[in-house]
Amino acid sequence: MSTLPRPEELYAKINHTPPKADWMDVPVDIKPGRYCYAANPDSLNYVGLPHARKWNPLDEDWKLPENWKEIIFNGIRERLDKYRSFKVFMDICVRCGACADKCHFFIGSGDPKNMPVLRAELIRSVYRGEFTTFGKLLGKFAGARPLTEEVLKEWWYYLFQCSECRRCSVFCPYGIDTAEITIMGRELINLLGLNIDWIATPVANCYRTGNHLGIQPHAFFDMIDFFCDDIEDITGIRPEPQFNKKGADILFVTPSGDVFADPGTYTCMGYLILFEYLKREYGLDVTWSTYASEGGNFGFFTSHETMKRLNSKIYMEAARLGVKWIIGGECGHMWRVLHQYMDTLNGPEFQSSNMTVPKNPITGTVFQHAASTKMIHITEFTADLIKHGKLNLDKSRNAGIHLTWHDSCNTSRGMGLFEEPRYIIRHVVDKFTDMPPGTIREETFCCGGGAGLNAGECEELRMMGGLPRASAVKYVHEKYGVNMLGCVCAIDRAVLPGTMKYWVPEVTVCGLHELVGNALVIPGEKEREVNLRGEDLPGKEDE
Amino acid sequence: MELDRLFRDRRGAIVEEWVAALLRIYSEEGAKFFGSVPNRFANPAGYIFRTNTERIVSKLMDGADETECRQDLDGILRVRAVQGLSPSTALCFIPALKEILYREACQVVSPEQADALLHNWYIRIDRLLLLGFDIYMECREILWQQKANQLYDRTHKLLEKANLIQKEDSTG
Ligand code: SF4
Ligand code: SF4
Repeated sequence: MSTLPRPEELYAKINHTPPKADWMDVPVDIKPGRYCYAANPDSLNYVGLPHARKWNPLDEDWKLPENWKEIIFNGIRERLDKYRSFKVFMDICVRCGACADKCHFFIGSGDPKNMPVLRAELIRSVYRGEFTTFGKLLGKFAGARPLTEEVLKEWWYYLFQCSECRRCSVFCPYGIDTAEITIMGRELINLLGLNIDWIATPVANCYRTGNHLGIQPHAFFDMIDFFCDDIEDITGIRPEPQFNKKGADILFVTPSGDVFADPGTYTCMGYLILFEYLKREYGLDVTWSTYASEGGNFGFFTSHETMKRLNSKIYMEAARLGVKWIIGGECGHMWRVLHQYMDTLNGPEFQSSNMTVPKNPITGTVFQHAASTKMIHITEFTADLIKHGKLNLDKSRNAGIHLTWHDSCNTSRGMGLFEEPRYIIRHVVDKFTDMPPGTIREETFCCGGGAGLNAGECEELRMMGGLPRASAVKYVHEKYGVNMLGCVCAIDRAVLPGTMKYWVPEVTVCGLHELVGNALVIPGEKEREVNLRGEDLPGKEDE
Repeated sequence: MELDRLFRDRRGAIVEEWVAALLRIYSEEGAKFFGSVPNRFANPAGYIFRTNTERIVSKLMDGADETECRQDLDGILRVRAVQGLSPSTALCFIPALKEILYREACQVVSPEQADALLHNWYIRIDRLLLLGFDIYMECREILWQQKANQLYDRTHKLLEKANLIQKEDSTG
């Protein structure tokens, strides 16, 4: 008996305590569940991205081009010249650590390389080692290291564990935005063909067909037609949306997730009801496009060039149809691109050609802040209508819902959209409870699946990154009885249902215009028995 | 009986040691973060690790059945199940409690006596470990299910609406 190891010794042998080592000396360990599959070469080829090939992140040999280092060094040099932000972010971090525990991926995993400061340091160390004199001289003592294949693999692994949510930047006293460093890093590894498929294939589909899944125009039309059938069943009124209408006043563009994936589809039905109401009541002239059928911009997760090409499709379609301005649906990164990059990418001339500053023809409100982009968020539009008393809303149809609000990273930190959704919420649901401070508004926690990390194979990464968001939801669920999590982002609507199922299964997920669609009373509609999900309305259960 | 009183007096120290065993598998920075005074929103994993460990120890000391610890154990393992750990790594803190109690007991009795007196505790901790296996597997199963359903959920409605899915004919 006594010769057998005691249990603790036994377990200590199986589960080694991680060795104490400087982060640079800890080799990268690519774990299934935390990485996404490599890009399909056909997709890269389609949009002309370089070095398309079949490769596997778990293989020793990543089949890099022979001159890969030279490509990366030239890439860094070019970007240091072109983007002042990149140069500044490489130079000014004082490693104060204020950002270290602010990233949801670190909060969930405890993996130090998911601390924003270290994520940036992965690239910064190479910048120091290869581009600065003191780094070349002092090496590791100056936090510098040379670029090796091992380092490149580490870049790839951790750059695709950053959802570019910018939460860390809120806490940095110097305003260093690690998301920007991730963006640069991804752009660099894309020069070597090292993209992931969950980004590359949607990019190719979007570029070719107009949306992520590659739904062709007739199928896109059919899907919306099916929603109209459902709306007719529920309300007795059939919406008659317009498609590709030349000379319409307004073009409406939403993420394709709203058209093909639950629960976004209910949000899409909400848009259809809203526009039908406004057409009947006030003659609003909106058109959908079956060509610019994607708001989401996965080019943003690839390179500035790809982002620009995908974004331009919306504006080219607007020009082709001759619309005056654009309404964008409940999307996340579409708005980040619009608010933070588009003007610089295109120059303001590009989107202003024939369009006017958005003006709501029903209320007369001029959206001056969109004078350059010519595009407003649908919550700005709907909030304005409510403010002017233009919508007939019956909150009681959402009486079964106790809502809390997830501020989506891109619309909140990216464009400051905090009040409009909450203003609408107050008019469409009775029971609303915000999550605690520190978890909402500027400091909101990411869903864990942004920036292209919503692939099936990295489910674990998302659940781990979703923990901080989920624990705030769990709190308001347990304390106040919250049963619904609302958001204005298609990625949230795709990611959060799974996150809730894992962490807080009593809570479901909806978009804001689903609630608007439920509450909005269309003149002449029949008495509704069910909501847009086909569930009995409160008080109608027994009838 | 005597041991039980000792354990109750040493409850705080036992919890500390158990939390340390729970954190031992993380990198230095990770363990430091999870072990810091936890704010439930800024550091949910740290908060769950500490509060749930405290509750489990208290319940066991108060003579509760292991199944009454299910919810608390679930909280801890739900986090561990998504941290890229092997099952044995995720669960290894549970048997570590045996050793912690053994060391405590050895301060007042001989090692042989300690093992004999801890017999019942060992059985309860074994049961806790088995319960832990069930919970861990349930968590992993949700992940696998979600993985499997993801593509189906996203495209099924589209295919169904487009009449591209042949419904099973129940009449054969
Ligand atoms: S941008 Fe978001 S995901 Fe990326 S390092 Fe910062 S907090 Fe983490
Ligand atoms: S908060 Fe800013 S300066 Fe401090 S470590 Fe993070 S990035 Fe560097």
